[in-house]
Amino acid sequence: MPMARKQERKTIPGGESINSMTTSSSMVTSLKLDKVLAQMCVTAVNETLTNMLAMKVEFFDVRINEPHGLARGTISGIMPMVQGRTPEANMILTFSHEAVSQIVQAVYGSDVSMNTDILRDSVSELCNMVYGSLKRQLNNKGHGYNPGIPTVAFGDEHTIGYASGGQAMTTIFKANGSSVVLMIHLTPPPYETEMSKQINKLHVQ
Amino acid sequence: MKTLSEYSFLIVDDHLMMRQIVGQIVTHRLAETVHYATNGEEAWQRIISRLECNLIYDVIFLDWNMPLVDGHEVLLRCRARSEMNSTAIIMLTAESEERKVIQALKAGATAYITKPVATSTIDEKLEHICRWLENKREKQSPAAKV
Repeated sequence: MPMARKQERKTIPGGESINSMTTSSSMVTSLKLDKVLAQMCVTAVNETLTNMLAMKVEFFDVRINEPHGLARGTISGIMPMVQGRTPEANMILTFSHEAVSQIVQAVYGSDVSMNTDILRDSVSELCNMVYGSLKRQLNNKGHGYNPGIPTVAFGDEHTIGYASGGQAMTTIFKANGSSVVLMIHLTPPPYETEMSKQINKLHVQ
Repeated sequence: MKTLSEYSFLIVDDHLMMRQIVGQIVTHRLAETVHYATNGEEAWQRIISRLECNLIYDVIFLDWNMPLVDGHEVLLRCRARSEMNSTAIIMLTAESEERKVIQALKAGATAYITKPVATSTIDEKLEHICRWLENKREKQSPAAKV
């Protein structure tokens, strides 16, 4: 299946360094879209695809708050990132058709057809593992992310973007030459209500 | 590397992918008795059915977060059965917090592996488990040593 958009290695637009891109002070979240988080994403994807599935994973690019910084692929796992009771971000793991085909073949063998159940199960578990690694790294830095349950979305050449006012970091990989994208999308501030603030306060106490 | 043909395995995970990966690792090392369960309740039914036939799983791979009955509950139920003292129970889970590891080890887990994990790490862990099982067996049948 051809890639809809040719990906080329490039620098962060506007000459902004990854370090300088942080969330605004009004953000609910303490999560920062920066080089540290990008490195954590790289580690999480490597730990999962290289260690568990023996895939050759190459970091390709990172894009922060770019209009075209979309996750694009055939199947996506979406994991809410919740601290206390507050949903602070979504982690979206998107595979191209080629990438997910290789994973299914590596795990189940080449004679297994890629049915919806197998794909959903595989991407859901990969999402669990990538999030597990990311959560472990973030929690080691003082965050307190909870376990989550992923949702899986299908669709040839679908894209997942982010709402206006939200912020997103898209980390792009080549796994055995095929596209894998990990996007962290911060929940925009309006989603924090007075009620959720109070519930979160109670939860912390 | 020791073969696993003499041991029986139960692999419990709600994800087919993990069951498949772990199953491949043990069957690659010639394990013959490999059973699977998709949740804690199904796992417990399998364990009980086997106990009723005076058979005990040697090694159980157990995920933590599963529907119906979670892995921790299965672990507690297993350790409440004296017949299962010599079953190696390996928690294989995405739960990585220290308190969870401590909770599992206190409940009687033989080993704790955090996902994602390299398949070679599972292999290494199995080597330790084989030695652990051999020690347990030797202790349980001192006459055999004589």
